[in-house]
Amino acid sequence: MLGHGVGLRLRHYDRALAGDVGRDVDWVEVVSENFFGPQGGAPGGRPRAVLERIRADRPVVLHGVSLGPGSVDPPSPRYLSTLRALCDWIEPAWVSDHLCWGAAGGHHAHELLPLPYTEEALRIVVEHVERAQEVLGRRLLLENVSSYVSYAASTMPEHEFLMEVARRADCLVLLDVNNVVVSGCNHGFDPHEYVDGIDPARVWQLHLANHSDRGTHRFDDHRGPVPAEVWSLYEHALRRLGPVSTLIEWDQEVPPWEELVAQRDEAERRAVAVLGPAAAKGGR
Amino acid sequence: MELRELQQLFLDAIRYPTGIDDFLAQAEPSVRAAFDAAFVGTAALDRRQRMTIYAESYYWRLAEVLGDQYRVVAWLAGPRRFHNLVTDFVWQRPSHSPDVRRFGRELPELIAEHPIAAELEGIEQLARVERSIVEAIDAEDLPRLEEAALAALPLPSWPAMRLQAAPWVRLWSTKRSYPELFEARRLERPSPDPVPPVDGREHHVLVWRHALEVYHRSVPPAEARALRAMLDGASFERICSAAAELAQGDPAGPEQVVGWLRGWLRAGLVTALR
Repeated sequence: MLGHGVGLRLRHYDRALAGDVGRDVDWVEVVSENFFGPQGGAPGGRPRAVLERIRADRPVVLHGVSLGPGSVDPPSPRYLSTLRALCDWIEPAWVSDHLCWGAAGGHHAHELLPLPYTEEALRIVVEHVERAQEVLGRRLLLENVSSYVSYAASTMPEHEFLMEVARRADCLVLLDVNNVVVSGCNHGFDPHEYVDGIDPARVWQLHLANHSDRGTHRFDDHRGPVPAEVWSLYEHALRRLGPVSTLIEWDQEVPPWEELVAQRDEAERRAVAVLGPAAAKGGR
Repeated sequence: MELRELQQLFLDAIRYPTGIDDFLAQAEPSVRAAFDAAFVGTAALDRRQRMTIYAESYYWRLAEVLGDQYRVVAWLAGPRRFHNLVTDFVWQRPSHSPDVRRFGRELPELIAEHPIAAELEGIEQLARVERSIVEAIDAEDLPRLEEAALAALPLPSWPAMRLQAAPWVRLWSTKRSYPELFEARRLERPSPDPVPPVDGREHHVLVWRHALEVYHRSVPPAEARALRAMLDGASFERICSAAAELAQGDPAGPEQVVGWLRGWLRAGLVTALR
């Protein structure tokens, strides 16, 4: 288990360059595509220096947003080879992306779009995850996304679909606790039942974040501190899953470093309260 | 409906420039029926409202990228004109890169053929300057040529000497002064309304990266001639004569060019002798 970390965003790059991040967090997660070079290889300049510096201090996890394994068109070989080159360079603890689709006909939406939970979608996702894992030479973690619309064609609940993908493709799971709360509210399912349907052995990472309540729906904007509802489900998830590496995401109006680290510390404090001091540091 | 058709329908709907309702209003009845059959809504939030969440998110994410990367263009154009430009770009030039930071690469090309180019003379050049700034951020790292390497060059070799500039060094000639507009925006002055006409002068702006920072500065005409010659691969002798051709009454001699050259080396513009 890596412990408790934060998503590193632009506002804190200078701190990372100065070597002042590692003392406060056990690990960091970065968005993979932000470190793709202009020609498809490694970047130069500030992105390269930041990533090399942080990697010298702490384990780094690469979190992608554009694999879109549920897109009918397979991930491009160039995308996968660039990600592989990034992995070879930075040697991440692991690599994750989202259970979603995001491109059609070569057009990228840059959105984490929801899938219908059908046998056809399952087959496509599994095939693309297997292909990605083959190129990367490692198992992927797939994250459940927040969603706002569902499909009449779906034949199973999301958590069953996620677990079936993981089983067939032999991949792992990044369980985003905030996304479970958001989607549960938007689609009317019980977040606790969702968590209870997840196989603990597959879950290697948790995400914690905030969202907005827009009256008619919840919107996943990663703005602000983790709300009570998400902390509560996080504690439930820990009781169900045991110790799991956990990360704070805060992407809009990114706060001062100290405030971000306070969220990370709170995640650790709650893990210790639920699991005990030893368990909070052990496990996956 | 097969997944391929479903995904295309989803994408067509959310990228329609005036929203889901307009998309459905102009769509064939069969498309409207497919939409209604595919997506599930509730009484509290119907399927059109749910898809509108995606449509708005799609547009604003891309608009935010353009706003971040073309700050001076956005400031000069003002909110209404820039919004219209962004809407046209998002609609006409969908992203073909998995890296959203590359999305705005073709904005200068779109501006060249957009009504805004006639409305705001010189804005296309400003967009090209801003694009080169963005592209310099993560361009390949290259070692810079040290002054000692030049000092060690025997005097007879100087006239034929050629310099290799870093690929992210760009010298732009513009109808409006980019550094002046950049400073006005940085000081949070309101966008000019109306936008004043161009002043008829040719401005030069240099974009480069030194270590991890990307810089820009105005370049006087004589230095711009010399710099252009250097970037085009001219010999030192030709760089000197290019600078002298422009100077009237105060020709830029080799000493002046050597002074510029020293500045270029210290700024990290030059990577090697050719």
